[in-house]
Amino acid sequence: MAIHVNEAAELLMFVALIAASVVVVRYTRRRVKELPEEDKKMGRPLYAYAVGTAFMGLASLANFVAATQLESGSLEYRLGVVYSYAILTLLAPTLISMAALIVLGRTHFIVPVLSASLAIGVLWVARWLGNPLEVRDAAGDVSSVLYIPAVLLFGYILVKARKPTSLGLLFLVISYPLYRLTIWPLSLGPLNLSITVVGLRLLAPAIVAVAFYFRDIGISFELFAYAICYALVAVYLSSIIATPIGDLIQETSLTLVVLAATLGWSTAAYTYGKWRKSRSRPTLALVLFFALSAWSYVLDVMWTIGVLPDIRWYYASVYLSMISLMFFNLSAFFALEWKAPVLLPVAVIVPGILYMSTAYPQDPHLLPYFAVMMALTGTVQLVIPLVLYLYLWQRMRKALLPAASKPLLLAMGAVVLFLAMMTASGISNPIAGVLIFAAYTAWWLAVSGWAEGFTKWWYARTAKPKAPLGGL
Amino acid sequence: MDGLLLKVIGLIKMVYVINEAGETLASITLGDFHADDALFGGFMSAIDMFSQKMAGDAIKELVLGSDRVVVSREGTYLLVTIHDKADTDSQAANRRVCQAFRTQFAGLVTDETIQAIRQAALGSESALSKADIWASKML
Repeated sequence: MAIHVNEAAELLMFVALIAASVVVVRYTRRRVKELPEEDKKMGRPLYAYAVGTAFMGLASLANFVAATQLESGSLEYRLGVVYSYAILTLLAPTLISMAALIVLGRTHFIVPVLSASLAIGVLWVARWLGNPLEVRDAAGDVSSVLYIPAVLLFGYILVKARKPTSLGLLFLVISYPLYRLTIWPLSLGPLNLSITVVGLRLLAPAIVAVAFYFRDIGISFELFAYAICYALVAVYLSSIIATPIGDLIQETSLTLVVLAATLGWSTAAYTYGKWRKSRSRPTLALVLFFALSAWSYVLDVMWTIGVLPDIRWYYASVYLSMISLMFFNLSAFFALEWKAPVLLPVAVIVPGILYMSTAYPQDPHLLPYFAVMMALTGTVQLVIPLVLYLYLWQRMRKALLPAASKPLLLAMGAVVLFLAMMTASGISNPIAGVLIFAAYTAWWLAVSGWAEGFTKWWYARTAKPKAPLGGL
Repeated sequence: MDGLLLKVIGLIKMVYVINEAGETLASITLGDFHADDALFGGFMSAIDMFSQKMAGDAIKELVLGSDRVVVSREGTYLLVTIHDKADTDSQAANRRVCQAFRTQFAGLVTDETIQAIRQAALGSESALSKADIWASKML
């Protein structure tokens, strides 16, 4: 039966929350080992938090199963699933509140406070016993209220500590009450923004996992970008679970495009880390290219599968695509240190954007020569960096620089993306899906330094000694 | 029950500063604990020496009837704090006193030293300062 995207997202929440719980436990074990004997008990709150997170995950799984079974299956089975969800969803904030009480040194409050919380929860839910839908909603409402003390404490800790780990702890406990509070009002507005709330909720466990896994990441673009990688795939998969496309070929193609966008985001995060150290302009231009182009593809996919059906999302996707390629062009000019023609990439996109805007709010495909205009703009936007990066590659290759593989792979990515643009039916065509994924893989290999490492290894393996060995 | 525990946790009844000869340099009364200062100093010093010889390690804590005695070493001095047996926060309270002693002691126990110890012993950490300490060590 059909379920809502937010209900389908519960399955992906389960996966992410269990993963986040494991990461927090691993972090705590490592951290506790570094502390002197008398401070080792300070690990207890994080262990309690991790167990609470695992319960949140199990509650999400139960909620997903409940959503798929609400109108089918025997009443006993449906009630069993819903009651399991109610118990788990009340236990999760209870355990997290326990962590908060231990942090505050008020361990003697644990038993009375938690008994009272559970008693209130059970009494509230008990009013609806026998009605699966009402029990589910009542348990969710009480659970979101029970998170409030933990929200206050972890909010205070974030203000004081300003660390990614403290941000993760707060984000996770605040995401559920916010989700419950905003999901329905936002879905009823002029633009259905409920998907963004689902995305933000999926982001929370991913931020916890990233913050506790990478200890030196800081509260930075990288933290959010790596977390968004998971949230993007999770939102897409939730949409597919909620509303299957039915066409396996199209699903495969769109999945490849989403994976390419994820790769684009992780490349943007990695490149941003490089830019923070180097502050070089070509690197910044590449960060913007990867980030914006990834968003462009995500919006395109969401529009194609009908999750974001409004035509404004299609416009946003095309504008982002053109602007992102403008930054790709700029990166090539900056890399060659050619300052004079930097306005050229800006000039290239202006006619296309203006022409497309004349059709708003109608479908721009109705405009005469729209496809030709877009094809021409796309071709110019990809041919310019292709030529420039190939030229740069030639110069670097002659100088025997191992980093020569970077411009070569950036140029190859441009060629492959150009071929993808030339295929019929856009991103729904599996050939386009494969090519877009290949392009982002080439760019990831270029930027991550993997190709450079391979080139160095290859030079070391194939270079012949200039003098015979033992010729001294 | 909870009220009783609240009164007990983090509360120091008595603080002793004892030198290596077993002489009590300072005794600061904060609650209900009665002992002869000279005898107690000699007793703690002897137990500490005995513990080091027999077990190879200094004594850290012992229970005397309904009292918990927490011992820590600052250079050649022993800092002894007396707590209720049910006090689960006694080690942290002792560390607080040691910190105050360390900052205010320059070879002689002065009025300032005693004042600092008294303040540290009376001022139990607030819940939010505990949260600050936790965050600085764990996050």
